[in-house]
Formats: sequence, structure tokens, C-alpha cells
Amino acid sequence: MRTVLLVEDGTEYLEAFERLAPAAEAEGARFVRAGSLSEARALLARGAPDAVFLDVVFDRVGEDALAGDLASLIARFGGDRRRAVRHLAENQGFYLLDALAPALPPGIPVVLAYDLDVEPQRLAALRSRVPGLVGLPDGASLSEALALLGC
Amino acid sequence: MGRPDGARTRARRLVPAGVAPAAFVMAFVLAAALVVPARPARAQESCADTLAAEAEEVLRLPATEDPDRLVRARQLVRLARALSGSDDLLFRALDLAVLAGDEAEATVLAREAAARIPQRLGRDEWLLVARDAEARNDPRTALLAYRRYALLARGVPASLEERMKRLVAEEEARKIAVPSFPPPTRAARRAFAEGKDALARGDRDGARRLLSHALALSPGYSAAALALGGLEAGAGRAQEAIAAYREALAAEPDRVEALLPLSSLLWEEPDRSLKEESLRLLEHALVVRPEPARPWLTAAERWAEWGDAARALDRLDAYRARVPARERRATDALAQRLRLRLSAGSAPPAPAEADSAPLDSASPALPSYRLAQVYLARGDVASEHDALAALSEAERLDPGFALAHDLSATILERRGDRPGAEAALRRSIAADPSRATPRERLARLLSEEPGRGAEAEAAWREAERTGSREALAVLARLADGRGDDAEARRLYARLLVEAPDSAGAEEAERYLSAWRRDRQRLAAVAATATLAAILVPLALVVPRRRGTTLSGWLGKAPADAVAVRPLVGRLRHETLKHGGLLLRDAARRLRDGDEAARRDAAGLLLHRLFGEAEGDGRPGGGTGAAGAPAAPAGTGGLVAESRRTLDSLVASARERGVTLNARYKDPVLAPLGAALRGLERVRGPLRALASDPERAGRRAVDAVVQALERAAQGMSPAAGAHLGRLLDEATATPVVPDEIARLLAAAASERGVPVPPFEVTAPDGLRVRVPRADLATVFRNLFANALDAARDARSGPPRLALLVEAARDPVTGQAVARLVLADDVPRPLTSEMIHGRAAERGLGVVADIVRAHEGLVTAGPPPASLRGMEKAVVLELPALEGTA
Repeated sequence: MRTVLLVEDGTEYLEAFERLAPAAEAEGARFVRAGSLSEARALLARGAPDAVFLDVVFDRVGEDALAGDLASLIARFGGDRRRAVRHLAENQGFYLLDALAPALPPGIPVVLAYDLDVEPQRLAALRSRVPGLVGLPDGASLSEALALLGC
Repeated sequence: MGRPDGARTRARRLVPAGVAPAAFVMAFVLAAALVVPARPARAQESCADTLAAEAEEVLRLPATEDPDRLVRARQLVRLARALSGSDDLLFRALDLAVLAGDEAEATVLAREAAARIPQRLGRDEWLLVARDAEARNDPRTALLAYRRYALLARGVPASLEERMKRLVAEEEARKIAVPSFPPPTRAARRAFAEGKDALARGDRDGARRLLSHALALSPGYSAAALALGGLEAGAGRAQEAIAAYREALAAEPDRVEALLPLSSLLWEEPDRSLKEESLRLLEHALVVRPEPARPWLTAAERWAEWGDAARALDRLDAYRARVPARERRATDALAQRLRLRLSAGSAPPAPAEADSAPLDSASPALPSYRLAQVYLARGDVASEHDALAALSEAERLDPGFALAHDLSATILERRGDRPGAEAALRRSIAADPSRATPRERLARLLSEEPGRGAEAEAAWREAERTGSREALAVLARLADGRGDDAEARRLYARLLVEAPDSAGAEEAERYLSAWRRDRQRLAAVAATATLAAILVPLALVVPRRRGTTLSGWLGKAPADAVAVRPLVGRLRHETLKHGGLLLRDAARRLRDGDEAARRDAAGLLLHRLFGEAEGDGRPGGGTGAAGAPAAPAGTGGLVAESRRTLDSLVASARERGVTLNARYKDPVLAPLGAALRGLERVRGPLRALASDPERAGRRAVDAVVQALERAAQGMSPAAGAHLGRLLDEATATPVVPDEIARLLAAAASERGVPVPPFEVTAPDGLRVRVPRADLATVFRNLFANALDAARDARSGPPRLALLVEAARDPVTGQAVARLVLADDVPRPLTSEMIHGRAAERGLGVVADIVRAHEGLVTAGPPPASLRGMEKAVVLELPALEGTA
């Protein structure tokens, strides 16, 4: 059975995978959910997953729970704290990817809930750190998402 | 009072026998002055002791021998104190000042002694300290001193007891923040009136400029701030709306029309502290105006989302008590979920109370007004009486201080003295005719009195003229009541434009929708068959043909992409991403699954699509590190959120004078809207499936499955990419060196100076995601700044260089264009000078444009490759994929 680590600020992806995915694929996978970077790291410390799914927008958690160096972002944005927090929340999936990259087993599928099909060079740049990275196309179904996760 | 006998003995011992004291002192002072540089402290102490001893000797002389002995002794002690900071000397000086009846000096010394040697002060000295503190308007120290006095006097006289009570109240009153802005100037009122006219004409830019001008002329002009807040909120400019509503509240903290929309705007912010503030404002609105039902439901939903089920349930109960049974039933599920949650766990900490920082005010009435607030907060009849007395004093001191009249009216109304309250409100209006609040209160007061309806209506009209949205709603209702439909429509339409988030907006929406429905019905009845034959095809064609598409809009106004981008981002993430993952697989599950699977899938769909609570018995979530949190409560679900986003897109276009035909014409938005409408239609069948799939039957299953599959097609994978491309194409601007050089030449020509040397190094084909006009404005301002700086520095013709590089954000991988503009003008330029409050206007414009397009601008030393340059401005702008 494949273990898939889901990192999201709600439970929408987890519920969809567990309750709506086709039985054949879903039964071959076990989903563990983390709501933040620290939770994801704790789960990774317990055991390496076979695949990772990362949500991108984290607008339901406090700024303390967001991955990324807020202080340096505030400095980068000319002292605009609100913009720095918004940037972190809206791009949280990328920051999680950056922070988790060293701890991920090499080559495992990592699905980012962001459509990178129209930005192949961006995907290539991100893959230099996480070779197994793929973007989730807009409108993709659960079956397609599970296929990207190798389930 | 104790005496410093030890000091006295010691001082006496220092005087040698047989030496005339005065001569000895003089010799000693001289010697001390010589010794001071070597051993200053010790010499000065000895000298002080000697002077003190001399003072004691003088005091011992009989009064007949030296009538001025007390004066001389005090002089000697003063000299001694100049040399030594001894507590004994301080105390002796105080003692002698009291003995001499010199209250002024005794007071000063007692104040010092109270700070340094409080344990040695006696009853009378404490009385001096207390009176001095009172005179200095320091109630805290005065209270402390009176308490010490009372302790030593073993009791307090009745007169002092009253005084101490008042001091306690004064001390509390100092902590109360009171807003105080002068009434708006005539020019500000004119700008406000013209701003409202512009708003009524649909000229939003003009209205924004005029209302901002009114506020600049009269900061704290709440009516202008409120109107500007409504305008900005309607335009989707949340930060600007927040700032405007904050200004309105700074002037009138109880203004519900600012409290509610500001609370809603802050709730949408990701920052948790802003959500806390949002909850505080909402709660305050409920206290100020508890009658309307809707804010209670909003409060319940937000507390639920915040995670405080107890508070959420309390607010929900208050809502349910205010609405009819049908609307109560609609919240049964939320109530049940909250009760379950309440029994399951503890609540998170409630938001902290807001700081109450006192504001400065020039009004002499302010202390009495604050005192009245303290008395009023005590709640008993006697304190209410004291509060009225304090307010009477405040009104006497400054009849133009309107807040005092307001508070008097509140107390008098509470006591049932309606004529008194009315008079107080009329005084308030006379003091500051620009404020809507007292006019609204007067109108409400008159409305409740039989036979004064006409007066009430006149008062509402006056309130409306000062910017009251409540007045708009009331006047619209009155017009409707007397059958003046045109007037009612006009007022309700204004309410929707000026205060889309106000409590009355819902009522306005209902009225206008009903009116539109009625009008359509009438039109249909009146039409003849022939006309129908003409009109029906027209009705089908016109809505499909009129207006423009998103592509057409952005093609004509690329700068509007700034407003469109976040809405499109929300559609892509919330609607296309989540909808795609949900719909196809849910349809398959409903079609192929067994009864349990159908019930589960239907429950999940109801929850995710419509925000409805799921029933018991659904399968649990996955295993998480800290347990998975519940799905967001009170969000209304994917369908409502997506409809709202689509509506915002259309409204945003309308505000810019564009008719966006998202319903029929746009190739992406129209199928998306149809998908959402299709989903709304199957809400009923889904409910039936979630409660009893067997009873719902196969037809319900088929209907839902078909609707889900159609909706999934509407949310096709291509839609998101299409929207993204459209935005990119609308804003893409190539970085062309020649065009930039032309901007420099124009800036030089405007200033009448020769075009400076300008080197540009840029890769071919690099395109930034900033509309051409905005990029040109940025460079125009930067060039103007460099040329002006060269002129001011008198350093001769400047030299400029531009280095353009393609880069990527190290974390998100997003393509970025880095534009480094350097010059050799020896004038400092820092990032603070660009972003700071005091930023020069042109640089401020640059910072605003760059920020609006999610870019960065900094200043500092130039890179090493640009030799001979003094400083550089670095722009980091989002670039298009394939060009970085």
C-alpha cells in the first residue's frame, strides 16, 4: 500500500481522495494529512511517504503556521507586512516544497496543486530541486490526480 | 514630625570650639573649593555638614538676638543642599519651610520627599503633596497622597471622602479614548456633496477624488470616509476601503455603518490579528445596534469559523430569536453542529480587547466628558445623575463639543426623558451639523412618537444629506409605503451603490429584484402575440450580444488586469481546481456506488458545494499529525463562493464603465456560470439522496449525475489556462531599450536640459507582466527624479545606465525581470525614500505601480558592472514564461 502525504490547510483534498476516489486506486493508498510545515516534518520523521501532494493557497491558517522566512519577506517588500503574509499564504505550496525538498526521498512523485502546464520553464527550474515534481492541471479529476501520485 | 537629631549632632561636632561659625564656614567653603577637583564628593559632603551645623546654631539663637534667624538658617540649609543630596537635609529644608509658613517651597520639597523618603513624611506633608498633585491634574498621585494622609490621620473627613471619590473617577476617565475632530470645513462639505453627486452619476473616479479631497481638508469627516469606504469596497480595493472605514470609526466609534463593513473586510484578510479585530468590531456593532437580525447570524458564522462554538451558539440563538420560523429552520444544521462541537472540545482564546489609547483633544470639555463616561459605566442611578452633572459642565465649558450632547441624550432617553433627549440631540446637531449620527437618533426618536411622522421624515432627510445610509433605507421604505415607486427605487439603488455591505443593502436588493420581476411580468402581460414574436428572439439575442468578453475588456484596458487578476486566481483555485477534483468522481460514485456510497457522496457534495453541515455517521477523515480540522464553516460552499467571484468580476467591470457579458458571451465565464446554475438546481435532489437514497430513487440519481457531469465540462481543464493566458497577454509588455530611451529624452525635454548619455544592456524578447502605460509611468518618474537630482546637486549633466536581466524567484520559480537603473548623480537615494511616508511624489507613484503589479522596487549602491555610477534603483517585475 502506498503512503501519500497530503499537506493542506483544510481537509478538502483528504476528503475527496478518501471518499470519492475510485475504489481500485484509493484502496491501494493510505493518506496522511499535515496542516503545516511542522506537521509535515513530523510525519516525514516517522517514515518516508511514497508520494506527496501539496496544496498551494493556505489562507485559513495563522501567519505563525506558514512556512517561509516572513521577516526577510517583509524586508523584501519594503516593510509591507500585510503583503508579505498574503504572499506567503498564496504561495505556501511553493514554500512548503522548498522547505521539505531536502527531506523528501529522491525521485518520489510530488504533486503541487498548481497548473504548471503553461509554464514549463518554471517547472524545470523547480524540478532542479525536486525531480519528481508535477503540477496539477486545472480541472483535473481525482483519478488523474491519483495517477500523478503513482496510485 | 520627626527631627534629624543625628544630623544636627553631627553638624555641631564639625564646628571647632572658639571659632566664629560664619568665618569658619567661609574658610571651609574656600578650602573645599580648592580641594574639590581632587576629592570632590567627600569635600562637598563635609562642607554641607558644616553649613547644616551652622544653620542649627543660628536657630538656637534667641529670637530677640536675631529676628531673621529662621531666614538665615533656611539660606544655610539651601546652600548645604546645593552641595549634598542628603535625605536629612531635604527633610530639614522641608521642616523649616513649613515652620516659616512658606507653602510654595514646602510643597516643592514635600513632592521631592514623597518620592525619595515617603516613610518619613507626616500627615501635613502628605496633605501638601496631595493638593499639589491635584493642582497639577495628577489624580493618581493625589489619591495616593490622600490615602497616606488618611492612614496617618486615622480617618478621613467627609469632605475629603467626596474628593477622593471624584479623583478615582478622574483617574479612570483619563484612560478613556475620546475621538475629537473639529467639524468639517465648508470646503470639505462642498467636496463631499460633489463627491456624492459624482457617485450618483456613476463617475466613480471623480467621486473617489472628491471624497478623498474632503477627507484631506477635514480629517475625521466621517460621512466622507464612510462614502469613500463604500466606494472602495465596491471597487474591490479592500485596503483602501479598510483605511476609509477606519477613519470613519476614528471619528465616530459607534457608527454601525462603518463597523459592519470594516468587520467584513478584515475578516477576508489572511492575517489572524485582523480577523480578531474583525470579531471585536462585529461584537461592538451588536452592542450598539442589537435590533437587526442579520449581523447576529454573521457573528455566529464567524465565531464558528474562529472555533469558538460557545460564542457562535450564543449569537445564533440571538439571531433565531429575531427571525421567523422559516429562517430559523435554515440554521438548524448550524446550531446542531455547534452544539456537537461544544460538547466535544474547548474554545480557543477570545480575541484580546483593543487598546484604549487616549487621544488628544483641544476641547476643554474633554475631562468632564470622560468623567461622565466613567460614571455612566457604573450603572447605578446616583452615578447616572453624576454623569449628567459632568456632561452639563462639559456643555458649559464647550457648547460645540457634540459628543457631550450625544451622551446626555443617551442618558436622558434611557431615563425616559424623551423631550430632554430630543433637546440634547438638537444641541448636538447645532454643535456639529455635519454628523449623521445625532440626526439619525433624532429621526428615530421622532419616529417613535405618535403624530410626529412628518417631523421624523424631515429629520431622516436631513440625516440623508449628511451621508446616513440608514436614512436612505428608511426614506426608501417611506416612499414605497406611499406608493412613490420611482423615489423608492432611486433611493434603494443609491443605497446599493454607496453602501453595498450595509444592513439595508439586502433589503434594497430584495426590493429592486421584486421590482424588476414585477416589471418583467407586466411587460409580458402587455405584449401582444405579434410583439412577442418580435421580442422573444430579441430577448434571446440581445443579452447574448451586448457587452464584451473578458478578453475584449482587458484588450481595451490592460491596466484593469490588476483588479481582475486576484478574482481570476480565486476562480482558478477555488472553482476549477476544487470543482474539477470533486465533480467527475462524485458523479461516478453516485452512479456506480451502493446506497451507503451514494449517501456519503451526496453528503460530501452538499457540504462542499453548498456549505451544508453533514449528518452523523459519515466516514472519518484520514490520520494526521495533529488531526484534520473541520471544513470551513459558514463559507456558503463552492457554488456560492464562485458565484460571488463571478459577480465581483462583473461588478468590477461595471465600475470601470465596461459591461462584461459573463453570462452569455464570454467563452470561459459563460460555461462556468451555467455549470454553477446547474449545480444550484440539484441541491434539492442531493439533499434527498443524502438523507435516504433508496427513497430518492434512480431518477434523482440520474438528474444529479447529469448535472455534475455537465458542470465538470463547464469547469474544463482548458478554462484555467485560457484565463491565465488572457491576463498575461493583456499585460505583457516587451522591454525595448529604444522606447525607454525615448522616455528619457522626453523627461529631459520637459526640463529643458540636454538628453544625458544612457547605456542600456537588455536581453532580446524579455516581456514583463506590467501594462505598457504603467511601465512608461515608472520610467518617466525615475528619469525625472534622476534629472531633478542632478539639477539640485549642480553636478553637471548626469550619466545613466540600465541593466536588464532575466531571473527567477528562488522559491516559487516564477519568471522575473530585474531592471537596474543607475546614475552618477552624487545624491543619496534609499529604499526608505521610495517606500517611506515622506516619499517624493514621483517615487511614491513608482512604488504604488510596482506594488500593484506584485513587483518590488529598492534603491542602493549600483552593481560592480556599472562602473562610475553612484546609485541604482532596482525593479523586480513579474515576467512572462519563456522570456526569463
